[in-house]
Amino acid sequence: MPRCSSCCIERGDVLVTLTAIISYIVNGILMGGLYGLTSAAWSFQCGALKFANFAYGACIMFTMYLTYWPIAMWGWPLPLTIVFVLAFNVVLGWVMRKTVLRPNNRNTQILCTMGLQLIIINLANFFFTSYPRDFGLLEKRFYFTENISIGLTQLFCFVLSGAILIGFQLFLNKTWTGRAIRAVVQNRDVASLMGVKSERILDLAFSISYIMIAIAGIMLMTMFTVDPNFGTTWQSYAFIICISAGIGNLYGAFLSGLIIGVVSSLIKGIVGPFYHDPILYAMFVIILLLRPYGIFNKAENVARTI
Amino acid sequence: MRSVKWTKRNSIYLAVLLALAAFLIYLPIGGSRRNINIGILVFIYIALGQSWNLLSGMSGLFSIAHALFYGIGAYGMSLMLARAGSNPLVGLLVGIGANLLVALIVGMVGSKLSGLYFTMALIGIHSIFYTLAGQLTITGGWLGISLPREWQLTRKELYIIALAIAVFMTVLFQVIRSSRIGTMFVALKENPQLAASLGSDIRKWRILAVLISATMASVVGSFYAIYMMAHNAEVFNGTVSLRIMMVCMVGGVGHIFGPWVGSALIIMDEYIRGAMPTEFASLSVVIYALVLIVMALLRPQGIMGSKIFQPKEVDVRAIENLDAREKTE
Repeated sequence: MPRCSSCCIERGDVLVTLTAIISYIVNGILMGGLYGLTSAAWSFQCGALKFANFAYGACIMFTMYLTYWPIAMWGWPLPLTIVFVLAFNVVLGWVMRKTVLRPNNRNTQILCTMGLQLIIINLANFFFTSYPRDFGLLEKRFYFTENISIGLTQLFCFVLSGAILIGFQLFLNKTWTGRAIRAVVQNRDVASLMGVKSERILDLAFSISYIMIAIAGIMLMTMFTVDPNFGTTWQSYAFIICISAGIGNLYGAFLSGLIIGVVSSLIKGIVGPFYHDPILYAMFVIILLLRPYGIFNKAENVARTI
Repeated sequence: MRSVKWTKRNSIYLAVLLALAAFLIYLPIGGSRRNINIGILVFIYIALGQSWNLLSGMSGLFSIAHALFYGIGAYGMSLMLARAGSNPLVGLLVGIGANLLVALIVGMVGSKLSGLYFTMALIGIHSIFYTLAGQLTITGGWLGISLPREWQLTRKELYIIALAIAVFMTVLFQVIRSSRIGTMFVALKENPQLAASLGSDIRKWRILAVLISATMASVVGSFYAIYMMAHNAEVFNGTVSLRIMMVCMVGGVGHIFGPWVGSALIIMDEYIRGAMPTEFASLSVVIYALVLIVMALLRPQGIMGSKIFQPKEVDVRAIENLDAREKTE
């Protein structure tokens, strides 16, 4: 999926092979930042808040369309579009929390959000048509050597996703609202006794996690071509990354995102994009069998509660 | 001992059952080709619904990608017939064998940790098979695979086989439900901690539930391959899983006649899609999903879970009091 990496491996030339592999790794790390951000948002929703949100990929896809459509079709300025997308996503998160994620039963949540996902995908299919859309931005590339280069947009998105994740963790640790969210997540009853309105805090936390989705969607739109089924792939990657990192572990999700980014880039480069998904999912199943509580989690009890 | 009384409700049940049987016998004789096809489709979804009902309704493991087992069954049959040139029995057995292997992996993952991980494992393995089936040369890629014509059956024969499969799955569901295995499944769904403390091996029973359910879905998948004579990777499609869940959710999760009642939705969908212009085809899925959400939020017990279909609650204390009063008098 990264735009560059047009360099292909030629047999017998060690130097070219080496530079190609370095190039795959560098691009994989940059992609991994985006994987990390998207899956950290899901990890927060599913691990911390216990909302199994399966409409998550569809929401990213819809955000991308909402970024594309006003700018390309109606000629809105960029800041106005960003404000619109953020507001829409916060409202969407709040409405979802009030309707489909209202019951605490996880199976009902999975069913309802899956239904919602189908509704969003098919509505996008109906209104935006399945024709793939793209800003067609020409990316400026920064060349280290002839074969190793990084895109400036990619670099910017990587730095931004890291900054957002650190900012979000600071928000959870330092502010009163963030501490209230953590208190509600750990023990709802005691938090209520201490004067925290637990239901409202959960609404708020879910809406905030949708801000992350909005930002991820805007960043993805600058790099990728969007079509109605775009989100499902990213949702599956988010599952893989979260489970391999351990659900609820935000930094772990980011690190794991980097790993998966590098691995998927290497698979695409060396084995070919044909077997990319099967190999990735097979690795995921093996991780589930061997370390189901995650690579970066030590306590086995973390996973058992979900 | 209190003898079972013949109540008014029982006679209503009998009348409905007789009417249904008469209609099902009339359909292949007097029905049009289109209606017979819809009938076969309905039986397929009833049988799949029973399979889902066993796994998710009875044992509480939430299967979100049930099309996995169905698709593997279909490919087992079609690959054996078209590529290896063997007979349908071998195809059926190969499909079941492959399914047992996959179900073992899914069960191992799903029983190690609770609910969400089962769903995740299922999604992961489902994606592997979906992608591979659409890309490998042996499966014919997205063009699909077509079966040799010598195994083609007539509509009436297919209808009878489908009916037999649906009835067999329903009977199997009831047999398992009333046996010791079924009791174990329900116990694991309702209270796993208590069941484990009473000495039942949770992992063993959960894996068994996945194995049985996968076998049931595999048989239906193999039948589908024979029925269509050609299919591609769309047998793994998420819409199939969604329909299976819908049939059970609307009819009643865990209820033996849930899929029979819920399959009315399949009939409705077929007729609506036949009448609607093609550019609105994506909107029919929207309607499906809306029905799913509304049912899951407002009536999680389904139609068959309504009060009128439940047997009358007999209060044990009332009977004891009655007996005590009879003795004193």
